[in-house]
Amino acid sequence: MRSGDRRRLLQRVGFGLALIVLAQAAPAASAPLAPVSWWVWPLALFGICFLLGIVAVPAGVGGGVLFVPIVGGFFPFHLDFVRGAGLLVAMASALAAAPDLLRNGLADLRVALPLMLVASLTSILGALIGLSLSASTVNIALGLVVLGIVVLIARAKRADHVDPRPDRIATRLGLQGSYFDLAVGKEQHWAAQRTGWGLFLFAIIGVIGGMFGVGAGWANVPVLNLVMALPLKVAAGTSGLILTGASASATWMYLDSGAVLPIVAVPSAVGMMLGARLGARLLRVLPAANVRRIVIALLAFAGMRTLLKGLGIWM
Amino acid sequence: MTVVDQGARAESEEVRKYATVLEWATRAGFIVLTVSFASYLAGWLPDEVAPDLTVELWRQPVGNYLARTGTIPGWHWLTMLDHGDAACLLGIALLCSASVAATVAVAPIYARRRSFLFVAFCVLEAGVLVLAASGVLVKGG
Repeated sequence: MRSGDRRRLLQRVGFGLALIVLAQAAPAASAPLAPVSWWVWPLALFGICFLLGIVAVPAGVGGGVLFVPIVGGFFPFHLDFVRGAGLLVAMASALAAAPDLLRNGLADLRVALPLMLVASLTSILGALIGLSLSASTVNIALGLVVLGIVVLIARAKRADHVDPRPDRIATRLGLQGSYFDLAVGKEQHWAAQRTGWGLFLFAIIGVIGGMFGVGAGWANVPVLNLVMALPLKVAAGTSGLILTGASASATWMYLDSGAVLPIVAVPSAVGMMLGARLGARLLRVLPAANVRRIVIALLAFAGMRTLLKGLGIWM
Repeated sequence: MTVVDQGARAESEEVRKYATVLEWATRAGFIVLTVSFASYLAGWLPDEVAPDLTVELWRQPVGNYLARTGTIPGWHWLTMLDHGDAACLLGIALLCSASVAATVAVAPIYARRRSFLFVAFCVLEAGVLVLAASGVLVKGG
């Protein structure tokens, strides 16, 4: 079998398995629990999150944004506990990667610190709002947000052209750096642009992340790359570093409210992290564009399911 | 485009310090988390809330769950660390604290360089996380 045929077969098998799992899980979310042993649930969460972690890396999205709509839509847990676990998943994945990203120069501490501060603060506000709303309201809003994220991911562009002239705030804060670009064989300098807009957008991203427990990688990277003009790889690394603080503040809020159940959160976070490590290793062999399409389709399905659940149409 | 170097900043003292503290705090959190969760699953430690009861109640909002199980939210779990499920929360709390430790660790380096704006960012970030952790906002205080 040619490698192209093998890849297509692998994709179809993977997509088929994902749909079978979701189709099996959907009725379980609404029907009374079958008499299965309790330990089946953490095991199932570990397995699903391991698979989500594998596809999250080549698809270029964070674990939290996949976890909340998919587990919230197709598992029997209340959304309060899913959001608490989703924040832990996002934070744990970011924490595992951040030290190496910093050392390799793929995450910038000076850029991250002011944005992390703004997002941490507004994540608290988001968590307070999210925890005070009814599940149906959160499901409707989450469904709409996830469908919006699907459009954002599907239409995402990347800006590789960098302007080495910082704006006024970036000059004051020293938000500039350089990297060696192997493609052109020379040192490239970058500087943050539109820093005020970046701070404002991170405030909004923080509220959404805390409210829905979805992390914020899906929004951080476009804002850092397209608005603040950071090179894409530096934007992706810095996004993860920002998440380590922003998700932590919201996780504390859910933890203090009693909305973090270890039996849901721990296997999810560990499964996602191990899957993401494997996904990063498979990055060269997995067909990233097709994995991305599958993830977009899964997210669209889960977003629609969450919206219909909130509207009381598909319980 | 391949990024292999971020210039001097990647190797600067504060970056090294931040990365090292974050890494060790994360490792400590994961070790506590995995050991405590294994103890919880294996039943080596008693449960604050039995897994069967958790499964029965996890469809309900957190308020109902707390009322039915008699769980006290906030920091009460710290007094129950001899229970498997409460011990898991210690691992989660350590992970949540990793970035506080890292920002506090680099603040003196920025202060030495007279980068007082970044000292302020570090102190404020730590303050925001401590405020979130305190439980004051959740209790409405």
